[in-house]
Amino acid sequence: MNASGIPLREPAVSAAADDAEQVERALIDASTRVPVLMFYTSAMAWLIIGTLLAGFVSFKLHSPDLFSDISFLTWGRVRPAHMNVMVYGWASMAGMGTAIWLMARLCRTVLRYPLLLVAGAGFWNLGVLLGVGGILIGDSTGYQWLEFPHYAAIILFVAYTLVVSWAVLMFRFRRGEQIYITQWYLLGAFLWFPWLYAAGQLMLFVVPVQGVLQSAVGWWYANNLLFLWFGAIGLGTAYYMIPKVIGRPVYSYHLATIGFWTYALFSSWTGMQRLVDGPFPAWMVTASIAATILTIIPVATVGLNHHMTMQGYFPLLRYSPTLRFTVFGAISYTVFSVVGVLISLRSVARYVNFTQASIAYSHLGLYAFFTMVIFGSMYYIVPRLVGREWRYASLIKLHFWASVYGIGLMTLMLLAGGFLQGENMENPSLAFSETTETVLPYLRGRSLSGLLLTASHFIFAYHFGLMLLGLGRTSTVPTFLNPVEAEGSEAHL
Amino acid sequence: MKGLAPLFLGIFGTFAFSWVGLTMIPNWQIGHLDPQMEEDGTDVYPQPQSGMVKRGARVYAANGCIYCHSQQVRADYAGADIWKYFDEDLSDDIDKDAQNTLFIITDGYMDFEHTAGRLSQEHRYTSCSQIINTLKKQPDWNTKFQKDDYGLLPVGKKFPNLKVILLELNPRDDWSGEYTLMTDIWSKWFKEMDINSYSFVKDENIEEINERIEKLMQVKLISNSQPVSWTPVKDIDTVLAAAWARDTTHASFKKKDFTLQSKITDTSNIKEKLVTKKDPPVKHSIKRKDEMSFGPVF
Repeated sequence: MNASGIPLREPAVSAAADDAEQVERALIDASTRVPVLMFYTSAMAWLIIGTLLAGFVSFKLHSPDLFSDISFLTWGRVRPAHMNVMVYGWASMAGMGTAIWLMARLCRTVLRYPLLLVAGAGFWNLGVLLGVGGILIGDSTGYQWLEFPHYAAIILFVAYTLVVSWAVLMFRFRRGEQIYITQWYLLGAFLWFPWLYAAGQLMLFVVPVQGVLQSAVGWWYANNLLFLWFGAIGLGTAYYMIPKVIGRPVYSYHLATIGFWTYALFSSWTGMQRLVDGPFPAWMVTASIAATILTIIPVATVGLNHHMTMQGYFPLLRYSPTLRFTVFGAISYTVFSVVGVLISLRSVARYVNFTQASIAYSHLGLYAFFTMVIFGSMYYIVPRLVGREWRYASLIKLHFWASVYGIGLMTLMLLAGGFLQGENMENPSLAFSETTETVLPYLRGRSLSGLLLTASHFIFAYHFGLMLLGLGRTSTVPTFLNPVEAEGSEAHL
Repeated sequence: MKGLAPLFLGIFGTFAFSWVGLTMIPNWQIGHLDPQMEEDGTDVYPQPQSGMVKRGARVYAANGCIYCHSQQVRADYAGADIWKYFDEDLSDDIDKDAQNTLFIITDGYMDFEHTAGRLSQEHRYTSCSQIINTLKKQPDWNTKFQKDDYGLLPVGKKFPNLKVILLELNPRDDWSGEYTLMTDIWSKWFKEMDINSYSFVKDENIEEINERIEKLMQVKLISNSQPVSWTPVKDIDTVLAAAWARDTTHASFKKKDFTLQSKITDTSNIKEKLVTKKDPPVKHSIKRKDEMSFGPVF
């Protein structure tokens, strides 16, 4: 790969040019400060709310009598509330924050019309708030990830229009010929999301398709939201952060191209594998299973590209918080996809469809991959917005390990529990209640992992709060996880 | 990549491909299915939803019920419905003071070939397929069938005053012993339940079927196949009839049933039971009273 294609700081440039570029970067960062911090702060608030809801949901699975006589605290309402808070409140807002900053940097232009984005963030918050409130008072639509009642959905769409119109404006003012790989993914995400959201809303609520097709459209929406919205932002961010932190170009432009287009083509065709054995034309399910298997191509190319970029620089994981979170997320993307292929095969899906295993899969995608990459990007971006460095290396380490052990334990518990549950449900001599009872130990284990994640989120929120209040360190050197030894200090950490 | 045009085109193209492929084409293929009328225009399937059902659907959506409860009712039993009927329900349907006749419409295999996770015990299964597939590879299958005690899983109940007629047996023709072994299996199973009067009727022409039924039931069926005129049945239990009509949605099955029932003239004390292989467990026995004609009930 020719290094000139990558908008990275070259290792050897004249001091004057370097300074000029640093000033330009600082100007761009300053212009994005208000909207990006607004997205991040809102996202953090939703993350904490979503985490509390998640803990409640998890405990109720093995202690069902907890507050069971209060209608808005019943499991069937709190669970969609948790999912929608995490999907639209935390993940989407944090993802948009990161995407906005990346776009501004990569377009090499200061952010124009920041008020548009602030308004967008405000409307988005309002939409999520009304939506979650609607779910809790019993206005849910009953379609996974589209539970928000129509009045909230309209507000979200207006908010989104404000954000995307800004992204288009941004592109008009971009400088430089090259469009970096991250921009492809972000542009894709920005254009796919409104189409997807509008199509989902139209085909389910405005002009509803008939009968079983509604669940096909529902799964098509949910899966594409995971891949084309969150997945695209996550991969784009990883493509920026990894080369940026280690100060080295991406290994191969061609692998990046192949990875992007096969990702767009194949992952958008997945979703129907969730309907294995359902009353649908067989070709629909088979096409999605085939597409899921084919997603191994983008996984392999993206994984190889990241690995080869990192080759020789793995020791830097010891120091850089951003790199550590991002690389963990990138590896999880591979794990997520492989698990996705496994549970989509008919022979396996027969057992694990409708079990906890599919919850493990969603958490692998949304947390182990996407959320960890976004955490990494926040460790990189926030100091550049507030002009302070992260205060405590120990808190970052705690955040990282609590997240890693938390999500690792959760995935293991749900996968193992899911397979056991599936096998028991296939056994005609076991009553349904017995099949759920055998999963109980795993659900308790999951609650334990939830406690770890809760601790990790509170630590991060506290640390983020310190940064917002200007209580970070004043230093020209980023906060490293460990004291930097001589050989690592050269890199741009 | 240079230039925005290919990027935009690609982004739109890939997603449009998925949108058209996974939502628009399926919608064009199965999205226009309308409720169907019965031939005589009386019943509509599926039946229009009442206000209660719609209200229930709203409650179901609002409370997130879908995360645990499918809208499909999960059967509490997975396996051959015929076997389950003999095991659980038949004894309740037997009328002790009458001659009981049970008609079973089946291809003769009782359960699907793929029967993973089904009940079994030693060489006893709930599907003839498993037994036939094992034994047909062996030259001394007949001896082996007796010696190793192959057969259908016993239900452990006795039905001494029951006649059974298996209709529409349809053995595969790739092995010459298929029909013999199939009937051997059923016979063995019936004898274990003290059912000594039974008959097998292959899926053949209607004359032969009539003859076999006449012989077994010692009744006279109208042999010519001209349309039977019939008057609407009075005194019929409308709830039962509605349940019957709802459950037997397979059109060809109903037609056959119609032909047979309309031709049986001797109605005295006959209790009828039709069991199909793939339908849900049969609960809709229609009790005939003396004053009823033997006309179709739907």
